[in-house]
Amino acid sequence: MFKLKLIAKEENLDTVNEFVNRQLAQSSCSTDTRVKIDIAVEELFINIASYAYAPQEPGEVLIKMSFTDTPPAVTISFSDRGAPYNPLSHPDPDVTLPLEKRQIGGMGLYLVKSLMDDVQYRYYDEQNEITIKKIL
Amino acid sequence: MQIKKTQNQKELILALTGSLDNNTSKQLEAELSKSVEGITSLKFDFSALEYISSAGLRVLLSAQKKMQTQGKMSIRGANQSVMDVFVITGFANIFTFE
Repeated sequence: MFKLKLIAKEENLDTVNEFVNRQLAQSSCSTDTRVKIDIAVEELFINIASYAYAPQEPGEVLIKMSFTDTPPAVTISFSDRGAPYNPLSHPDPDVTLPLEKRQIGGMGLYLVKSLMDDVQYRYYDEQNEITIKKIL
Repeated sequence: MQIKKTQNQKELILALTGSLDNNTSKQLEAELSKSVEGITSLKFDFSALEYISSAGLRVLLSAQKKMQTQGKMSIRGANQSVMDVFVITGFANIFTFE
């Protein structure tokens, strides 16, 4: 299990990406799969950085990453201590709307759900925990 | 991310290299707000773009809305990963591809 704990601020996105890609580089992950994981990681981290804490008092996020064998897969979880919030409770955006009616809200999480093989949320031990899984 | 800018009169070509993520999309947004005035043809060259997230989509959507009122916008060279994001989000039906 690999862990990274850091302040949930947008500027820390590069640190998060480096952490995730360092572990993925040790695996059998293709470039295409790595990009999909990077997108999901960005969307989830930025959501936490944007909404989990008050802007003047950013809190921490704990990222845990582990690999399993059959089938080869990676699991990454994000935990924060913000107010309980289940991002999966929102309906998916309508991706068939024309340009004039298009809004970008909700698109990030929709990408996560589409690109990953599994996405789970739980509120546990006073923490929001969102976990993604991708088969490598 | 790097942005290479080529302008021929009212045509502007922006060639992006690297990742259009939450942080670099602000760079593109700033570039667009200063360069797009008076442009009637905005062309994105994505042949060296490796990655796009919803933050990048947001900037492209707002550029498309802006260009709708003053000309046209098109995208060329998007790789498979970038196209996948356009297809999943339905933006493949909204943008024009060369």
